[in-house]
Amino acid sequence: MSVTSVSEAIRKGIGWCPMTPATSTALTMITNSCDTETNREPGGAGRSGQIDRGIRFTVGSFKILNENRQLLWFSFLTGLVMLFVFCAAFVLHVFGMYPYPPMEYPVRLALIFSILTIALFSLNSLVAGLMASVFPILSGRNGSIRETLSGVRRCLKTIALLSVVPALLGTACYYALTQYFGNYDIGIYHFWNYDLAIYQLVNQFPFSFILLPEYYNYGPIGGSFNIPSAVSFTVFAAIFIGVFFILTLFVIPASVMEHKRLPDAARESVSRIRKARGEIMVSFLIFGLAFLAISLAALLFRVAYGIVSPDNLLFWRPAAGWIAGAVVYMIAWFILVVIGTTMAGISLAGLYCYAKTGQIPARFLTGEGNRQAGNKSRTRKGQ
Amino acid sequence: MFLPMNDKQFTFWVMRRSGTPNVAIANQVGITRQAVSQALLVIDEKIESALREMAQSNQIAIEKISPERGVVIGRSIPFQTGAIIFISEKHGIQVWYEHEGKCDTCQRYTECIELLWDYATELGIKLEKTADPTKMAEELCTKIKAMV
Repeated sequence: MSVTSVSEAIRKGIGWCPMTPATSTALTMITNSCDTETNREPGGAGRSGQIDRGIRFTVGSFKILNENRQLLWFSFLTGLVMLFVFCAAFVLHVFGMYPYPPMEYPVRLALIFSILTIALFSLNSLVAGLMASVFPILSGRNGSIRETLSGVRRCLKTIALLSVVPALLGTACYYALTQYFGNYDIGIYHFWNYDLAIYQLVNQFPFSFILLPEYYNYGPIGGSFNIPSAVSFTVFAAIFIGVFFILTLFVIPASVMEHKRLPDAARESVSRIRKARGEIMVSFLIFGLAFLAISLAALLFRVAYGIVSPDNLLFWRPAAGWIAGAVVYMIAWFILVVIGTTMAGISLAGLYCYAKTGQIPARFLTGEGNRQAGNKSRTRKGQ
Repeated sequence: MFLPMNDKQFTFWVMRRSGTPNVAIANQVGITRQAVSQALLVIDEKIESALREMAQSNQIAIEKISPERGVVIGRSIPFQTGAIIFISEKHGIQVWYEHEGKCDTCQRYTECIELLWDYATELGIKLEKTADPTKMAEELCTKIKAMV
């Protein structure tokens, strides 16, 4: 599909009507999806209730994805975006080193900014599309592709801003790390040496053997060399991501469902997060731990091949069996991660709904919750 | 505020909106150009006042207002969606909201089609889509927004 036909398809997604939109748009979807008539809040008050509800959102997201397999298209598209980022970063890395001519620094910065912008815009659009698809499901009906495109179209400006601003920040961080902190020594360590900081983190990735077989792994997993660099960068990145996460978590859901502009959506995001911070932490902690477990499974390769000690690496080359196993692992890792991102998106829609109304959407209730809701509903019918 | 649609000033306003110059209006009606200008200033104020009152009563935050075109582009606060207020010579003041209407099941399908055709004709706008009023309105509103 050409760019024109895509934009035309998006443009066709909305119209004008003299009737008030209350019966057919976002407000209704929010109200219905958070309908409290057949819905009761499970779990108690306090910390245990928050943990219980957080688990329900995570488990419920798997259930909803399983019952609505069409949402896996978002996983597929997320995979394509990740593949693009992966390939673009790899090409940028390879073509920036010997035997290719050195890349001009401004060109490298421009390329990094472009890759970040494209990737963030694509991912944010997918989140918006997922929200526009999940909210109708939570209200008990299947949304159309038209509805999804319409939802994305409604917040294109917000998506663009949410892509360009972080891309600029990311590029600025890269610039600062490479230009100002490159040789800043603290004690015996190169504390902010970007070469050691960023690459230490990247080199922990289990695939670095295949991508860069000539590049030996050193760092917390491969050895004890330059741990402070890796840790300092990890802490810095975690703070940066954490602040950004708090500021923007509910921005896209608010933009899609309530047509809010970026400043209003950001304000609402922060206030809504406060109301459901426990549930959000639990739900995303579960997703994070699952991601960590899948990634740490790569260590089994080292254990199986007896290359745990850093000294072993100096004389070790991956054999055909190792490479085949690693490729299978990489494919499995990739599939699980893209499915996990869609589940996290579904959970996000439920959390937004919960933060807005204080009630868990009925589709996230399983087992006892559904039975109770069903009993309540039957009682009403009997009356 | 009551909009005096039978008033002569309103007729001048409609003529100007359709592109007739003040001199031509003066010649057609048989009065001086200054009198036409004076009348248009008065009716512009009335139209703006009527549009603002309409926006206020429908809780629409005004983003753009054009008394010359008789259009308000804004945003409905309770419905959190785009809204447009316009004045049709034949149908009076109208309020439309930006959302996809269910035209196939709506009882006012014919009225909407007629209203849109009439209003487009009043503005001298040619509409391409004819099957679905909600889409016709989208095309019309896009063109109106470009004019305001």
